[in-house]
Amino acid sequence: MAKIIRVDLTQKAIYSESVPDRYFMLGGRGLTSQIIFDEVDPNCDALGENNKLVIAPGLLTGTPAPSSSRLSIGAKSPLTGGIKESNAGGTVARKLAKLGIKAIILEGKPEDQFWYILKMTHSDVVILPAGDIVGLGNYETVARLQAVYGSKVGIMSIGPGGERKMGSATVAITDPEGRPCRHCGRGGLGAVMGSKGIKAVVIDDRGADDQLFSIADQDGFNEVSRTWAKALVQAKAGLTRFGTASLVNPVNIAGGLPTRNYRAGNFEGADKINGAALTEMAESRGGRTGHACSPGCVIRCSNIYHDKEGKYLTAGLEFETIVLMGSNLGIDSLDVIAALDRRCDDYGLDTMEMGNAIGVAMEAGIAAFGDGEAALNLLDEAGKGTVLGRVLAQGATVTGRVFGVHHVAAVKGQGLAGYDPRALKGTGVTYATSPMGADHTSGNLLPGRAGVDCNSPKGQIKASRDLQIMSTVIDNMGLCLFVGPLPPEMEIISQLLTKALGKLFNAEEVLEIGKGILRTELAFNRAAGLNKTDDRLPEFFRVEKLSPKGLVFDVSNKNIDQVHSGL
Amino acid sequence: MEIRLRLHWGLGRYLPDSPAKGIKLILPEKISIDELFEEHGIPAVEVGMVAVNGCLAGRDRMLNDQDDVHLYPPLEGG
Repeated sequence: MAKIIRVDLTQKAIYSESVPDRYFMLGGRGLTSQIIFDEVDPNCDALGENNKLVIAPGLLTGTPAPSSSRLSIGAKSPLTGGIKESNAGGTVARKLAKLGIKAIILEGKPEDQFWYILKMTHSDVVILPAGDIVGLGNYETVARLQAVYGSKVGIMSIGPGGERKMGSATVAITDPEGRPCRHCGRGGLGAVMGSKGIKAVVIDDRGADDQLFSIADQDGFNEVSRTWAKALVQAKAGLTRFGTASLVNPVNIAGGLPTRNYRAGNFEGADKINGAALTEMAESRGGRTGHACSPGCVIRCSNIYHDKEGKYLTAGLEFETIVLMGSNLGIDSLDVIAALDRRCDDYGLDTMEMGNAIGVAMEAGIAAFGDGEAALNLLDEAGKGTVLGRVLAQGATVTGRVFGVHHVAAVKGQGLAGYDPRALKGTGVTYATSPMGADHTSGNLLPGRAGVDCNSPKGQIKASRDLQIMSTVIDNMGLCLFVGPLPPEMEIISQLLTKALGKLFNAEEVLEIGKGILRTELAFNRAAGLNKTDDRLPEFFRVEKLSPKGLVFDVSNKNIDQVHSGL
Repeated sequence: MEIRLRLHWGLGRYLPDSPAKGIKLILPEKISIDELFEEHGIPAVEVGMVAVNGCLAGRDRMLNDQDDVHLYPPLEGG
């Protein structure tokens, strides 16, 4: 029987609750957003006792559906002031599904100054003192917890960034090898976990064999899953071989690769940081591409990156990190980018937010563009918690204000995600209007998607709207976005749900799930005080021509205000 | 005229023997991207992005001698 685990950190009390019927078709982002809407005052202090951190595996997590082990974490965001969901791979979602846990709700706030861990097994959930892991980076935190609880447990943890309640703080999730390299990175959710006094959550699923989502026609469900998995293996071979870094070249060609704090859209060093370069570097040192970040993933776009000595450095070096820590800082060395990624993972800071923030700092003259050593030092300031480091770790918007830089690529206080909206205009519409702030995973109009020309303003409103709905569906299901947030995938999801429910559930009904979630999120944001003036890109995107093509963001605000109308 | 054509990701199946760095093609003068698709049996619907000499190009773009043409399916990932 599926349950919700509620942890009251004020009283140090734990409750196991049945799942309300209205949450039956919700999982992942759909469930985190609905619980936040139902239980959190939109005007609460994001780091106060009235905010809640909600953790949920997807609706299909734990089933044979391929690539369905995403974990969603949601709360009111200290970065955007609105509702937030951020999801990641790793092992935790599937373990929670095996334990029959549909959601964990962390609420209240400890009145003492102590730090705690939460430990979950098939027989109990307990709050324990965090002890000597307080202050440690994610890698050492996880190593010590594994030494106590075993190497097979799944762990969610925060680093110093979350302990200090920084706006860019992440929640790290361990991958299948037990490394804290998958992150619910966006929106400062690590700070919310820190505000609850929780340093880590340990999930031990030994002896558990529950299933979150009961399936009426198991054979039929398995057959749809098998067929889909085979098709994904074939269709996603490029992602498997080269990872998301394979986007570097085409996005560079489209003129949308953020370069030197969004001053250009084309980076002269792109060939040194693209998918082919990453694959060659990884393989020549004993690392690899084609790595699965979560159990049951058939796309396997992750990678393992070793340093010059052939020792493990980091895993899951992705396009957004490569771009925002690379071209956006004028850095063309994968070794430097990988070292920056490792530090972010360890300190528990979002690579995207930090890439934007350091870019702004470089624009302010704190360091020179292209100076990798300086970038590493700035990140170490954030790791140590110096005043400069805390400014950076509060994100690009705060960094811009402190240093008097207005050339800050952020929406609703959150840094953009590695695609310049002047060249990828549909993604720009999503950045402006998504209830999640500037978040590419909410609806990324990559070149060639939806049949629109990414450099043209035409057709971008409908394309962004449709993609936002379908991306929300994917997030509800716990599926990886790379299965494809497009109409054919909505049809496959409808087939899966039809087999699961034992009655026809058509693609239109699937889309209704996504629309309902978006309506809920938008309503929360309106009640939190966000309005149309927050649905705007920074002015410089409209007036500053992006080299080399001279593009500006020219989708009208009037049209942007129509994106969610009639939803 | 002669161009270099490279098909990325899954599109490679339409020129199965072409090397990773692309293939040189001898084409008649005054041929467009769309006509290139027809000539080599590449379904236009499967092509998401065309780049010529490192820049995005429309499908009505006329090709010139020594052009470097890259075809991508609709992009994914990120």
